[in-house]
Amino acid sequence: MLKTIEAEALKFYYDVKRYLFNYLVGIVSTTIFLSGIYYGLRLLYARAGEETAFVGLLLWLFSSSAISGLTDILAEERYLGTLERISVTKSPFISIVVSRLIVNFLFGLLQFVIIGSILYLLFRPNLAPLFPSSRVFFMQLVVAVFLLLSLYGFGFFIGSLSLIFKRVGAFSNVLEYLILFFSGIVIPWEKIPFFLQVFANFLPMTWGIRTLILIKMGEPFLFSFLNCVLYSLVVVLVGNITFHCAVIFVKRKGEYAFF
Amino acid sequence: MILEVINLTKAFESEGTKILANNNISFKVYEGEILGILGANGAGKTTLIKQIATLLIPDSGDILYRGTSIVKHPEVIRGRFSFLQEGMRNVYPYLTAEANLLYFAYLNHIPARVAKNKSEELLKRMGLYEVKDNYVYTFSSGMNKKLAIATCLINDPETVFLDEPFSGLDLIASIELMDFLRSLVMESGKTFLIADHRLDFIEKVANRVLWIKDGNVVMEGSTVEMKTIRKEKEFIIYLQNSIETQNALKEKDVEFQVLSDEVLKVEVSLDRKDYLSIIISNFDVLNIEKKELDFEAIFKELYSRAKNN
Repeated sequence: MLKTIEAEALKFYYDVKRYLFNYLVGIVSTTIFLSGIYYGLRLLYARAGEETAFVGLLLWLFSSSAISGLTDILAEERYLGTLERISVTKSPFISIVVSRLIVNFLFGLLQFVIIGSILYLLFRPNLAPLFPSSRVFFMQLVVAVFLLLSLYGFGFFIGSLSLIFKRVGAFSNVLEYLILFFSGIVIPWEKIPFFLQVFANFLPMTWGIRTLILIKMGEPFLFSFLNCVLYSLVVVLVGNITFHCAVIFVKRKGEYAFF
Repeated sequence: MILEVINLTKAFESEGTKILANNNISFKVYEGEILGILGANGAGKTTLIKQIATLLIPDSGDILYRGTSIVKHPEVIRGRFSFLQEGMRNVYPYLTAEANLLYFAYLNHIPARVAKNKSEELLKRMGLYEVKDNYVYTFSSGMNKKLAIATCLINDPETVFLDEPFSGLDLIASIELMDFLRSLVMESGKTFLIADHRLDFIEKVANRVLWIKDGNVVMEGSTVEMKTIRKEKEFIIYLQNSIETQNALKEKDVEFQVLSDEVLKVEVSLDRKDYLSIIISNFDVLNIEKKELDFEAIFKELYSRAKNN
């Protein structure tokens, strides 16, 4: 697996080298977008707290690479025609895509730090309530890990479906915005209509964000946290099974590398 | 024996119609052998290669690699073979030549230092060392193909599958690549499965040929037979038709064909100088042509011989 990650890091390095300007402009545009939303949130809502909104928005940054991660990898490889070439190497295909997602995640982490620093310098949010004690901070870190796992697991599931249904990829952006607006980062959860609350429960960031808010407010969070853990495990498992089934399905139909 | 294909069948559905791409195909491949898979476009060559490469799952039948079923255990063959697909889409255009090689090396779990040395060696061999830091999108199609072949060899595979290695190349690039591939295939000592409709190339490099038509293996034979047929039918001589000429040819055991009241046709090899001199000195020669035997012609000849035997 390490060798496969090394391969993907090499490929990513050349990608960034070639499209450095596009990457930089991407960071600038995301910073502008998040600045606008965060500023609006500070004016509108106090309930979720500026610090949770701040962290929530930064975590949402990962949704882009997570939700469309596998879909984009498959689309790119199919477009270039290299999907079949990499599928016959010593690295199992699933380890190639997971390695590429890990590399993308590491880049996302870099974006998280850069954009987070810019936003912090711009707005100077009071983040102290997030760290009342090391125990709370650690708990929030654990929740963030499961939240990210949910995001990537969900993306893996969507990507696996895109192996069979090519148009699924087109809905990735829709999902990203649904996650942004209905996970409790932008609109407080209790202020959205009931049917949307039910719908929001199936989105990958909802339980994580809810748990983060409850922890920060010092309210009981176990139920929400368990849901977050369960959600992440289920989507990772379902994503994995869907991926394997989808690969077999398209290999049977002869549509593995169809673009 | 390195590979055994047993009763392999694969069909696809297209707009409600079932297309049988491979129909109950069986054959064996021996270690170090160069097997040419010949057939016209749409004959089922790519489907066959892709099933062996575990990129397609057969409807029925099995493929054994050193005795283990790769239909049930595709991981057995992974990393032990390479696959060059048809066309120009085998490498990453936005990576440099060297980065492409290193990428495929790492995916095959080759340590960095070994990968670096091996990629330099291959780049030199392919004549691409001077452009190793150039992005692949700047390459000509011939260079692109050579790099793709290099990525196939970076993991030192036991078996190499080449699917239509000349597709997408212009005439000059094809000729260059053909010479290059011929020496590579001969020298490497690896097992090659080469699917192509280029009879001239397959004839030069392969030890054995598998003829596929409409998804069926219609014949399996050695390339020596093909070369013999090509030589036997090298020249076509057109003679003035007359009863005397026909009788004289019959006397000398020379096969001929009556094309019209005026013209007789005789096919003869350059090796049979005796025939040639007899014909040219004794008969009224209208025209002599050098014959280029195509895939169909050789196939028909081989087929009729097999039938007669």
